[in-house]
Amino acid sequence: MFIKIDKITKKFDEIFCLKNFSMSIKKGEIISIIGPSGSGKSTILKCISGICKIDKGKISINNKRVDNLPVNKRNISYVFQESPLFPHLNVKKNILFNLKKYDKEKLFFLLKKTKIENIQNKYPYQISGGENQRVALVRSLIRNPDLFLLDEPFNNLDNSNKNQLKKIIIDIIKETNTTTIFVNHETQDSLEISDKILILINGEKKTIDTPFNIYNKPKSLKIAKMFGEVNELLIDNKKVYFRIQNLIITRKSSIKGRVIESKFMGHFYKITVRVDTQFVNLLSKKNIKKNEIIYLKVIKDNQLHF
Amino acid sequence: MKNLNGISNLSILSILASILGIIILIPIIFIIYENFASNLEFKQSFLNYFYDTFHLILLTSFFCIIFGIIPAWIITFLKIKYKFFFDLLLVLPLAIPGYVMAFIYSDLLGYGGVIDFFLEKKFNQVISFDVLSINWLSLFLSFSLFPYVYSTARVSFSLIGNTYINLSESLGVNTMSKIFKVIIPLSLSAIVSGLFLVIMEILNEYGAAEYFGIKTFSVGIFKYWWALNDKNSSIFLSFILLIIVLVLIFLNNFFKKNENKIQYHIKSSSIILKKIKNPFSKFFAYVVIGVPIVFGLFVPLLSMTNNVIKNFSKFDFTELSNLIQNSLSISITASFIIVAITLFILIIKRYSNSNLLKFIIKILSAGYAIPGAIIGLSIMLILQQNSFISVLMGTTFLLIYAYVFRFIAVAIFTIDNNLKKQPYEFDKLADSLKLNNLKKFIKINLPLSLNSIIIAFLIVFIDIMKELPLTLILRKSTGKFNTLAIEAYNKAKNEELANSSLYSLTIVLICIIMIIVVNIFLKRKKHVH
Repeated sequence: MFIKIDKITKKFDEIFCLKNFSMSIKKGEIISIIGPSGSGKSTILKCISGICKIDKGKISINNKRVDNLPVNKRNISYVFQESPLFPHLNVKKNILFNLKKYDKEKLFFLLKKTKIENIQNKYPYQISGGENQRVALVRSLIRNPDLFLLDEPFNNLDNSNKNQLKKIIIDIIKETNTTTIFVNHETQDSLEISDKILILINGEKKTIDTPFNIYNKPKSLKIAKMFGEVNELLIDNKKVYFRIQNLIITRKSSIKGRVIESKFMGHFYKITVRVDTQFVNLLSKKNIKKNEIIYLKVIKDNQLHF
Repeated sequence: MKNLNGISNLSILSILASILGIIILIPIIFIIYENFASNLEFKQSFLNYFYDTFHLILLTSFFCIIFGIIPAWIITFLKIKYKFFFDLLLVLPLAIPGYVMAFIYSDLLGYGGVIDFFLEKKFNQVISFDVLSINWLSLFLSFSLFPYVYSTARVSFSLIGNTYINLSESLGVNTMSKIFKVIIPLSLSAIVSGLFLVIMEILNEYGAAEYFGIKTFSVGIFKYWWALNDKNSSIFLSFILLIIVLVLIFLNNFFKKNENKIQYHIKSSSIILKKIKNPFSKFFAYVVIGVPIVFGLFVPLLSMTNNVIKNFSKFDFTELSNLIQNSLSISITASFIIVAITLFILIIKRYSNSNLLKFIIKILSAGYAIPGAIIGLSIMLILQQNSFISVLMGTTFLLIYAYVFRFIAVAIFTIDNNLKKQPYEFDKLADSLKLNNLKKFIKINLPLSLNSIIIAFLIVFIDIMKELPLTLILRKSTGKFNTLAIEAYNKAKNEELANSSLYSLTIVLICIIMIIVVNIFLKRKKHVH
C-alpha cells in the first residue's frame, strides 16, 4: 500500500475527533471521505498533512513514517475549503511560491489544462472564485506531491464552475497518477470522481468500498440514505428497502396505491404514493393526476439488504 | 424636515458643520498663505535640520520595528504564559512621553548618572556614555514609541490567522521564510501605518530633541521664532515640515489603498498557538518580549519613583496639586469639546451625505500629522496680524482651539470607524418609523457609538496630557498657564531631574490608568461585536 494510516487517534478537549482510524490507499487512487458535519472529515486531512498532531497511531507514505515530520517536510499538498491565494502575490508567484526548481513542461500542462494561462500576471483580487480554485489546484500539483488532499474544493462555486473544475481535477489526477484524498459533503460528486468512498461517522470509519457498492449495496440504512432517497415498504409482512428509481408502475400487481402528490423535477416527475398506510416515492416520465390509483412493482434484483 | 424658508434643517446643519470644519482648519490655511506671501529664502543651515530629522526618523523607526514586530509575532503565534499581561505591558510605554523617556535615560546613563556611579564604585571604572547624541536619543524615543508598531502589527498578525500559516507550511515553508514571505508582506500596510505614527511623533517631538541639542524641524521652528527672532525662517521651516508631512500622508494613503485590496482577501481565522519546546528558545522568547517592557516601562517607572521617594520632603505639593488641576481640567474640557465637535460633524455627514463636509473631514483627519510647532506658530501669526483677536493670546480658549485642530483626527478615526460599521438600514428603518434626525441620533446612532465615543475621549485625553510643543508655544507668550508636561520639561531643562520626575510620574500614572481603561473598553467592544 502506498499510504498507510494505522489506528490514529485525535482528541480535542478530551473529546474524540478520530478514534483508532485506519485506512490504506494504493498509488494513484482517489478516495472520497463522506460524513455528516463534525464527523472528523477535515480533521483526518489535517492530521495526515501535519497541521494537527495526532495523539496516537502511525501514518506512512511509501513505507516511510511521516507522522513525526513537520508539515513542510511531508510532501503533501493540501487544497483547503476556501483555498486562499496569497493576496500580495500574482497568480504565477502564487503557483511557484517557495519553489526553487520546477518542471516547466508540467507547469505548462497544468496551466493549459486548468485554462489559467492568461491570468498569470493578475492578482487574487482580480480573478474569479473559480479561477482562484484552479490556481490553488495548480499550486498544489506542480509540487509533485506524494499525496494530494482536497477539502471541499467546490464550496462556494456555482454549478457551471463546479462541473468544469470537477472534470479538470479528475483529468489531471488521473494523468499525473496522483494519490488523492477528497473530503466532500456532496455525495454525487464523490460517486462521480472516486475510486473508493469512505464513510465516516463520529470519527469512526463505518465502511470503505467502491462507489457502485456503496450506492447499491450499502451496509446500513443510514449510509444508504446518505446517497439518495430510500423507500421502505412492508410486503408479505417483510420490510423491503429499495431506491426510488427501482419502484416502477405496472399494469397489474399486488401493490396498489393512490397518488398523493406529483412534483415536476425537470427530467422527471416525483410521485408520492400511498400504499395502505405507507408512503413511497417513485420517478415517472409522465405526470400522474392526484388520487389516481396505480399498481407498483419493486425491481427485485435492486433491493437493498442490511 | 423644512423650516419656514423652505431650506431643510439638515442643509443648515451641514453648512454649520462645514463652517466649523473650516474654522478649525484656519491655521493650516494661514501657514500656506504666509509662506507664499512673505519673502522667504532657503538658508544653508536648514540642511542640518533635514539631516538630523531624517537621521532621528530612520534610527528610531529601526528600533521601533525591532521592539514592536518581534514581540507582536511571539505574542500572536506562540503559546506564552501571562499573555494578557504582556500584551498590556507592551502598550503601556505609550503613557510615557518621549521627552520624559529621554530625560530619564540621559540621567541614568549620562555623566554622574546611576550607571556611571555604580561602575565607578564597584569596579573603579569610569565609562562615560555621551548620551546626548542622535543615536542614543533614537533608542530612548523608541522605548516610548514602539507600542505604535507593536499594536498595529499585533492586530494585523491576529487577522492573518491560521489559514495562511497552515497554507504556507503545507507548501513547504520553514519558520523564517514564513515570517518574511507571508506574515510581514501581509501585514505591511499595518506596519507602515504604525511607523507613520512613529514618524509623526518624532516630527512633533520638541522637548527631547531640544534637550539633546538635536536640530529637528520643531526645534528649528522654536529657535528661529523665539531665540533668533527670525519669523520668516520659522515660517519657511514650518512650510518645509508641512510638505514632508503631506508627502508622508500621501505615501501612507498610497500604501493603504493598495493594501485594502489585499486585506479584503484575508479571511480571518482563529489562531492555534504553537508551543515552544526548546527551553532555550522559550527563554529567548521571554527575553525578546521582556526587553522593551523593562526598558520602556519598568526602568523609567522605577527611576521616577526612586527620584520621587528620595526627594519627597522637598516637593511643593500645592504646586503639584495646581498643575494636576490645570492639566486635568484642560485635558477633560478639550477632549469633551473635540469629541462633541467630531460627533456633530460626523453625524451631519452621515445624514446629509454632503461632499464638502466629506472633503473637510478628510483634511481634518490629517491634523494629527501636523506637528504642534506648526499649529502653534500659525496661530501666533494669526494673532499678531489681527489686533482684534490678539486679546485671545495666552487664553485657555486659544489652547483648546489648537488642541481641537491637532487631535480631532484621533477622535474622527475612532468614531468614524464605528459609524461606518452601523448599517444605513438602521437609519432608513428610523426614517420609516417617522423619527426625526435628532431622535434618530439619540435612539440609534448614539447608543451604538457610545463605546467608541468613550474610547475617543480617553485617547484624546491621554494625548493632551502628554502634549508639549503646542502648549509650550501658546503659553510662552504669556507664561500664565502651566501644565504637568510643561513643568516636567522646564525642570528637566534646568537640570532639576529629580523635581521633574514628580511631574513626569504623575503624567505617566494618569496615562497608564487611562490606557488600561481604553483596553478594557476595546475588549468590551470586541465582545459586543
